[in-house]
Amino acid sequence: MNNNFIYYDYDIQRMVRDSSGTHTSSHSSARALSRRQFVTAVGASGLAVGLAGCSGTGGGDGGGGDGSSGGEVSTDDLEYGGEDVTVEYSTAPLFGNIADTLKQAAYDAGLPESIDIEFSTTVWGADDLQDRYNQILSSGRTTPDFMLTNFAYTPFFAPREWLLDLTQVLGEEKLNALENDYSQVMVDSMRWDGGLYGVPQFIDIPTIQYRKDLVEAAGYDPEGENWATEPLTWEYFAEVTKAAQEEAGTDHGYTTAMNQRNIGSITGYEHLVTNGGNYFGDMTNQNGPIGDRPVTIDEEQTVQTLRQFRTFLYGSDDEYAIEGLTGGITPPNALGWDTSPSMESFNAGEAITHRNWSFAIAEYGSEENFGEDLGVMPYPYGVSESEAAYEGAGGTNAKLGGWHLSINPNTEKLAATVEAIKAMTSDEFYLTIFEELGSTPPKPGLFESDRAQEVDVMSRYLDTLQFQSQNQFAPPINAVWDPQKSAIGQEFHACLNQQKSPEEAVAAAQSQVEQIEEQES
Amino acid sequence: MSEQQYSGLTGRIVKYAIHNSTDVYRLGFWVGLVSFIMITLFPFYWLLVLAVTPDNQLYQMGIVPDNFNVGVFLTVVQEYPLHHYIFNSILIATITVIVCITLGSLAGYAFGRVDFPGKGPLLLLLLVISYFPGIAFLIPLFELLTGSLSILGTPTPDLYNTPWGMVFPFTMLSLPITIFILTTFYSQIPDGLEDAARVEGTTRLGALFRVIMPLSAPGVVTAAIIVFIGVYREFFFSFIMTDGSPENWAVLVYGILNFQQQHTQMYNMMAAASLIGIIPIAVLVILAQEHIVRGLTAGGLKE
Amino acid sequence: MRQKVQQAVSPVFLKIEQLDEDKYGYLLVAPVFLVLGVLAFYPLVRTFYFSLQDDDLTGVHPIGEFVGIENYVQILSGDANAILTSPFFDLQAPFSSALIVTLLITGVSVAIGTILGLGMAIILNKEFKGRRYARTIVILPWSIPIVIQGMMFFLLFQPSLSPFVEPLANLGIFSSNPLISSQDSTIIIILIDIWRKIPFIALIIMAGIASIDQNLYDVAEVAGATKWQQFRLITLPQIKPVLFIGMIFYTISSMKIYGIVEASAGCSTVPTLTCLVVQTFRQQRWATASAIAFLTAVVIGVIIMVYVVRFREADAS
Repeated sequence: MNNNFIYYDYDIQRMVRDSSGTHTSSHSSARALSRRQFVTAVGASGLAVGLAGCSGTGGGDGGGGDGSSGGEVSTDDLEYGGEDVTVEYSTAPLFGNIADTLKQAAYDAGLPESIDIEFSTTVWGADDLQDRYNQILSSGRTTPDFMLTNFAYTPFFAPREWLLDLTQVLGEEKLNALENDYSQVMVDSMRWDGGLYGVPQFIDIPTIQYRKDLVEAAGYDPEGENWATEPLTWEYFAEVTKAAQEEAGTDHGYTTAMNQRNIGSITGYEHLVTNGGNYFGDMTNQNGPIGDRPVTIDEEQTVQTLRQFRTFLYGSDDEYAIEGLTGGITPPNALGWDTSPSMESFNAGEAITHRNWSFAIAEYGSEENFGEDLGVMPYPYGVSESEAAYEGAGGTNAKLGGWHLSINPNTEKLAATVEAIKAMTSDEFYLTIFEELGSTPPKPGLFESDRAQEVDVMSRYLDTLQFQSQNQFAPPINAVWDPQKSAIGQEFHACLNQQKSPEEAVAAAQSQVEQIEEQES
Repeated sequence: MSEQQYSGLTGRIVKYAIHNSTDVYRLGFWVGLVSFIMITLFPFYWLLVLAVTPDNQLYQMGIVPDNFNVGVFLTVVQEYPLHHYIFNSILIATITVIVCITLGSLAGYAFGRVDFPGKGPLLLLLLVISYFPGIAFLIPLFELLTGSLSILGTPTPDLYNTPWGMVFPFTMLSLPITIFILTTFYSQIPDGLEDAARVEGTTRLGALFRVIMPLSAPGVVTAAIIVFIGVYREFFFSFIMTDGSPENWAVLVYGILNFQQQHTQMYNMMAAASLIGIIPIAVLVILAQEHIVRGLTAGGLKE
Repeated sequence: MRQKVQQAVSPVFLKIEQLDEDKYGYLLVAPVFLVLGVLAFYPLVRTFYFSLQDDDLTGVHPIGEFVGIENYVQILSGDANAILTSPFFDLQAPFSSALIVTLLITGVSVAIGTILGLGMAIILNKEFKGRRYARTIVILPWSIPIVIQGMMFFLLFQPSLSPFVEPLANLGIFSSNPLISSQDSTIIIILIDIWRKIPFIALIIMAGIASIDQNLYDVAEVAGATKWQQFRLITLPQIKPVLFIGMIFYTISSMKIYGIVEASAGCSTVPTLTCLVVQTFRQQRWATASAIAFLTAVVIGVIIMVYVVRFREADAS
């Protein structure tokens, strides 16, 4: 008999057995039936439940859904008793890297010292984060207690009650502030069916950044003409860009992200709105009713927008170029750019104007980069608000961006979590992240505060930021926007790649979007 | 084959080739080897160039970097504990390899050397698992492994943020190919060798571990390498089963993707982190070379 | 302690010795199938169950009511194409159909990759100085994380970052922005796949070659066979089973390509089957996504069947 071999086998078995994993300790809380308890109760009926039910909890039908999450939150739950507790906050590396500073800011803002916030950071591609939250929330995990979320998640998570309805927990004061002092577009982007599923943490404000020095060298006067708060027209903008480009001899003029992902739903959309157009008629139709609202892609403004882009890309040689509009200021390479690659040439000093989110200002405007030579102006426009085809469109306009804080409905530490959220949505906290990261506060009033005036770099551009934050629009927030923006992006991109005429592209986009509308209504 | 058919330089080359076939093979060999190495390495060279290029000079990079920023490797390790991520990856991969090779050997032995009905369908069943992209398993598996499922009243274990949360899915994904490879290699060992060992008193299972496996070393090591590397480079399940911090067993790919923010991707950092991450694999393969040797040389069976 | 364990365990081993062939066989494979039963088959059954339901976009749970095979019908007939980010199979736009694109990538990649892999295996099998380093180097492409593989080529073909795009465009090989052109990107994806799969298949083949009895070659040498004849008559037949296995997994893996596409050209430029599954899952259409996953598996299954049949024929002849 060979003895060694027996032990080998046994060791393996033991190793596998020992790894039965950690069991989460059961905190009993006074709150309404937690999903976990529901699971255990239902699970008693055996494996059959797992197979027949939806996510293995047997809570597939409407009744189960209500009872297992959200539900009624009693006022006792909200009373924080002062005990030592740690809440877990799932966030982006951007915040995770300065966790200590942020925690201090939270304490300064009034967070009880007995509450510790554990920052857990994760990968921050927007899609990846949605996947991860999808998993965590759909299976009813109790941690993280609260998370950094995006309004792109609202149509997916809100109807399923995978995020807590904050109107039940935030209290009068906060809710009032949300209605009055915050950027309404930002707050509304997390509303669904009467509930509020996130509180803004910071708002992202796209603007046009430009090289003031190069523009002045070409003979223009940004200061004098008050470009900071008086938007230019697209014609003037193109003219300026071209002149400065020729004068300075830079490789590119106007750079922006124009790949398929961006052109239909971000950069191209912005441009369309500044021309007075929209995909679904008036801005009040953004979210619905699906199937019952006009689809207005196949219209003159859209064609006009596409023609403007083609002029920018290819100049007057393009058969669809607009006469009189200066062209050839954007490299065709832009059609392959996402945000990051689009920044390269401006970063290297080889571009005049550049469209980007507010974080880029902090980067470009720093001393090592362009410092005071960096200028920031609001989006140019094609058609003024009063002459726009649709309400809410026209004039300078930029797409909404930014992130919110949402609470996991399965959290076992609700009271402490709410305290944390309140602290992290205080003015003190907003100004801290503005100082540290350049993340702009979602309350326009804060731009005028003393602290804001003293922030390095960003303080030079507060007026533009404030101005643009009052001229932002939100994308549609519903379950069909994803395939729709995909279709639109595809068609627009093909047009800008000179594969289709603008009329063909908008007609194709129109019909595809209509098809999707019908399928889902 | 008339030698007058070819003339001039071409003729001379062809004549040389025909008369010196060994040299031609030799030449072909070296050309082939060098080409493979160059093609393999070129993207890595590019990655290196990218890594050492300073942040603001990424635009219009040339083939040779203008400015070296070798400090980037230090920066990368200081920003995030890359070594911890690498350690996690190695540990999880090693555990997976052990589990896979063990379970797989049992099955490989059975499929390769034991006669029993239903082999074909069972093998097919194994193969079918690999037809599905990982995401097809995701939702049920996630519930199962994170304690969200209840079987007969007891909740399943919560393996979120533990290495086992990843070892199990990886094992599941790697078993098919492991078993197929091991089956192929185990079946090639002549019966004679095994019988000889049995005569000397080894148990049936003993024969597996003491005779078959050592003799199929190339196959076993290859399977081990395939599983190890497969786990090392995997991202999907390791993304879902941890929250991303190194204490919670996040793997190497996390470490690299930390440099990818919502709007900015620091390509040079990601490149540097990737290059650092390659080192353990390179070491592993160099060490494993010992065992991918010619097996079954004289000294095996003489019959 | 050892004694005790031994005593406890030896009757078990005695039992095992006494089992007849069949039962022994089943006993050995039982652990594997038990593990897979829980970790693989159960999830697949649930996913299949999902695929028979309807998507519920507005309700409390993404899975709605039972609709039988309707999801499958809709996907195959093209009715679902509006809500899918790229059609599964559209005769009018074959090259933007996920099915056709994936088949194309797989076909070309496997054909070229296997031959090159065979070449590499033969070369690396020769004894030469520094062989172990050469082997380590050539294995690198396959061993790096998938995201990095995609990223490398993204950077290699990004016009504003890479100096290679222009010369290639001037030579007419690629357009000036290869990553936004579907044709160019598909070719690039094929290249990436070949580049990273060659080590994989070479590794398997090398192990196969290493298992060939050296005596066979000695005998052949003595009998006057040329290198080429040795290759054809000894090496090739002996590595057939290994080659077969390698090609099967190569094919399966290429059919499931996703990570490198997402990291380089993007799923909208090169729609592959797994791209489609992932995107549909993201839209919270779990049922449709599950159906596509199963359809993908069926397609792969058919291809493997073809392989098996051809191999059987080749073996028989």
